[in-house]
Amino acid sequence: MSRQFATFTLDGARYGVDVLRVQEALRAHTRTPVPLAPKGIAGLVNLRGQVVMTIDLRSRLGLAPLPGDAEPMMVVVQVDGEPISLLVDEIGDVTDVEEGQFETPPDTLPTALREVILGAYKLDRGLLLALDVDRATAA
Amino acid sequence: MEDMDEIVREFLVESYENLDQLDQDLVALEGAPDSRELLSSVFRTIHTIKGTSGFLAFGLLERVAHAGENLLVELRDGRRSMDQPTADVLLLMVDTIRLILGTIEASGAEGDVAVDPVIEKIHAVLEGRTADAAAAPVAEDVEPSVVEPVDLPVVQAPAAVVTEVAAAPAAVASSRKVGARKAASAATPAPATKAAAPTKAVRAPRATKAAGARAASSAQAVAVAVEAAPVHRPAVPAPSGVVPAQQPAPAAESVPVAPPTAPPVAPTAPPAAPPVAQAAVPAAAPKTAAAEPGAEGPGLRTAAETSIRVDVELLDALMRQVGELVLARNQISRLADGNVDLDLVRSAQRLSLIASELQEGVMKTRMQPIDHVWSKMPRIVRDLAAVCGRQVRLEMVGKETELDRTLLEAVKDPLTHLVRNAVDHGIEAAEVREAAGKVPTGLLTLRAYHAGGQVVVEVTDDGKGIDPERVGAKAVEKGLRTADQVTGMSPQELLQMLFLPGFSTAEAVTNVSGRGVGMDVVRTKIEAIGGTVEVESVVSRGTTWRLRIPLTLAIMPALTVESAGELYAIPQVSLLELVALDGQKAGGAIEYINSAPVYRLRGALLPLVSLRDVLEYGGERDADTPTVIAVLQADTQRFGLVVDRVLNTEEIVVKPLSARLKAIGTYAGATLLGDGRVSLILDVQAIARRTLSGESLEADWEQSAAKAARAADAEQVLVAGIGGGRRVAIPLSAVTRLERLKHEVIEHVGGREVVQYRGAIVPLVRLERLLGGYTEAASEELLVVVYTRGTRSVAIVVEEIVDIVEDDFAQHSQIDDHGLVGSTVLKERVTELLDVRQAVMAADPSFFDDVDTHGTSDLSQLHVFAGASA
Repeated sequence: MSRQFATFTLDGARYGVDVLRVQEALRAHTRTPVPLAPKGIAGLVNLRGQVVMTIDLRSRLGLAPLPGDAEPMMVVVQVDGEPISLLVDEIGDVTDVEEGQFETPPDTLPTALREVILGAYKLDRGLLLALDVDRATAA
Repeated sequence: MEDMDEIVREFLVESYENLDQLDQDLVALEGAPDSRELLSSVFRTIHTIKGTSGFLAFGLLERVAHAGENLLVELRDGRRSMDQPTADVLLLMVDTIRLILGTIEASGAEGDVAVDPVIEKIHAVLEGRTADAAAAPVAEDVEPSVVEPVDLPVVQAPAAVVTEVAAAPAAVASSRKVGARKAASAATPAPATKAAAPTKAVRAPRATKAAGARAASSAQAVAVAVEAAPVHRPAVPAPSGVVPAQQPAPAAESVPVAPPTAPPVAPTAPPAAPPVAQAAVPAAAPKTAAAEPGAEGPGLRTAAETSIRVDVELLDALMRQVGELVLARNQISRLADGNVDLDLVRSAQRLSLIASELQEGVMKTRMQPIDHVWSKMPRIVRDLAAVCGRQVRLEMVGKETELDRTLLEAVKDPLTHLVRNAVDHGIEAAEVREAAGKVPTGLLTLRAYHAGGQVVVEVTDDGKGIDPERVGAKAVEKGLRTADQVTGMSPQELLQMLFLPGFSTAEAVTNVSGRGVGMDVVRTKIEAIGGTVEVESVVSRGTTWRLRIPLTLAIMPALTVESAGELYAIPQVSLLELVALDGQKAGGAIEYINSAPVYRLRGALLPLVSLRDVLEYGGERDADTPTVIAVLQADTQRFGLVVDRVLNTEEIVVKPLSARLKAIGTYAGATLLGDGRVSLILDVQAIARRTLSGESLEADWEQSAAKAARAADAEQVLVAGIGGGRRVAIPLSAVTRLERLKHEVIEHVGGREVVQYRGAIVPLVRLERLLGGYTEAASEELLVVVYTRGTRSVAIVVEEIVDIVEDDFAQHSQIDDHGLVGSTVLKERVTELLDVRQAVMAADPSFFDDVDTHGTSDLSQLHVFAGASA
């Protein structure tokens, strides 16, 4: 059975989210920081009049922050009926994956990453890590 | 099947509304047993429920309603008068019906609600006076089978209506005649006439009247249903939008003279009776008013024709979209600002205007009169009063006061709780009241009104009041406060402790209240919607609970402030005043007690909380950045929130926060500012609770202790110029407020100058005259120091306010003069110490009369009421 994944990159690696969960992908908006918020919450953005919480995926995955001058992109996903935006480095294309290509994450992955990764799809062009949206967005 | 569900749902909605009305009517009926209007209204409601339940094959429901109707028929025909047992059993019937409806709602079927006991009770009451016993059995006989010949015309008429609605969704008016067999044939032409003339519902009564007159000879017309088709959604079959059945005059008149066989006839009508949907017109046409035959009829129809039922979700969606529109409008307006394109500017202005009007309009659609919640109260009060053995009269003032429906829903429980409390704990038993010299019947008043952009709802009883001392004792006993803390509290502060969790003054747990869920729950619920609760009480006089509720949740005025470069919104309701400190002064103005920052606000210490600290920004602010203290009111205490800058006040649209952010507890929501930026709305109550509880509360106590200690050797004085370079010092304890008055407001009583101030006549004292100074050219405005003691005030006129300083008694000199108690050096100037007592007496010789035993010492004990309204 084939599924479609919306892909994006973080620190050079390719990640994907089931395309049905993705509302849109766009350039990053100005974020309003939320003091006292749990780590990984990058602030609030105004998405056409809707206040949307933004998750910094780099921080969530335990990666180093994006260099200061680089501008991140936003992938807006639906979680429990509410849109949440994910900060990513770059947005890729929509890729077809087969269940047969799936494999659970190896034990050697860092914990921060293992928590939010469902597993990897072994594609011809390299690995595509499937992001567990619900866990990645849970505070 | 789907259609069936729709019908049942409509039936439930309407029946619930009708039952609420029934509760009210029955209780009202007890007070006015002879009211034909109320009786008709009650009768109609039950009749409708019975009819529809028969139609929908809800047998249990029909049986209960039928039994109740039998009783009502006797009442209506004047063969029985409304008394307590009758009311009780009828209310019991209402409850049972409600129970069955609940079961239907939950499961789609009636379930096995026990109806027999109720029916038995009704019969018992009925048989208690069986003068007309014959009527009941007859009704009994008729009830099981509706296919009596009597019903023939009845069945036909509604059928015609349904067809008519389906065929032509224009206004269809149908009239139904129920009568003895002879009359039935005479009445038949009436529906036909109306069905044939589906033009205006207004025409119905006339036709009915004619028909009724024809029929009146041997029978009575029981109900006329007027149907306005546009009112309801097309999908809904005939029963939905039916306007309250109205009896035309002839019919109403004919009821009393009906032959004994008539009553059973009425009950047979139900299968065809369309449900009465008086609730389609929420407040505009209360049923009691509508029940007046003839005269009220047309008005009622008009209301029905102009109102429709709308799905609440649709309204919510509309509201959200309008919120977006307002924000988009704000952005367009800014883009258009400074633009040279005249057309763009003009369009933007027009857009702005339309958006504002639209916003207002949509907000209005969500408003509902508070009567929606109050209408349940008469029943609650009645039942409770019976249980508690009280006599209570309920008065409701301002029923029409409107507020947002979400809020209405939210205040329901707290309000019910307060009402229950008032009956159970507030109002005393009749003999206790009489012993105290009060009328035996307690008065419970519900009052609602708009004030300052908020809705105020008061629950007032004239009962025994709440004794602050007892509250204090209880708090100590429960370990909520220490005895020391309680000793220092003012009565008002003591009363505030009622809102502490785990507080309940009820001596014994009763069925009604005192189970530990008390006022803290009320407060929590009210605060959740951005409101506040206050309590005022005078022992043996009564208690007032006051809820302040925002008009709407979705849009509210807020103050935008800046802290560490970010903008935050503070709801205006919490804001008392703003105090700006300039850079250099800021350092000195903020003092520390045990590292807790405080600010002297008109002599009283105000605990300060830095927004930077609350949000844990870290890092020190530059010493010379300007500072603003927003004085905020939270629960019981006020505190100052230190921010960097205040931007403006604007109407903000509240956006909900993601649950993950709500959990932080510091933010009440988010909003979009005019420039499209997201800004967080601060939750003032939560911040206060976080930062002022625990050890900082202790700090508060230390503060007051420190304050008391300081007061012992130094007193704060207001230094005022009185012209001619002279300065006098007035103890701050004698300063209630500072006011500017226009010259024109001075009036005269005899030789004295007076002003009207806050609804009282207040004498003026001119210090320069009293102390023999110069009178300089009269300026436009008078600066006055108002000193209020109890209900009396005097206004002391000064020329200018110089400063508030500490007066060190050590420096006092005895050099004085008439009207002074001495002199001292303040701010390197010789300053005369005003003898306030003498100054006040000069204006109002009897000012201190009632406290002469205390003498002047009374002055120093007075609290300074720092003016809260900035």
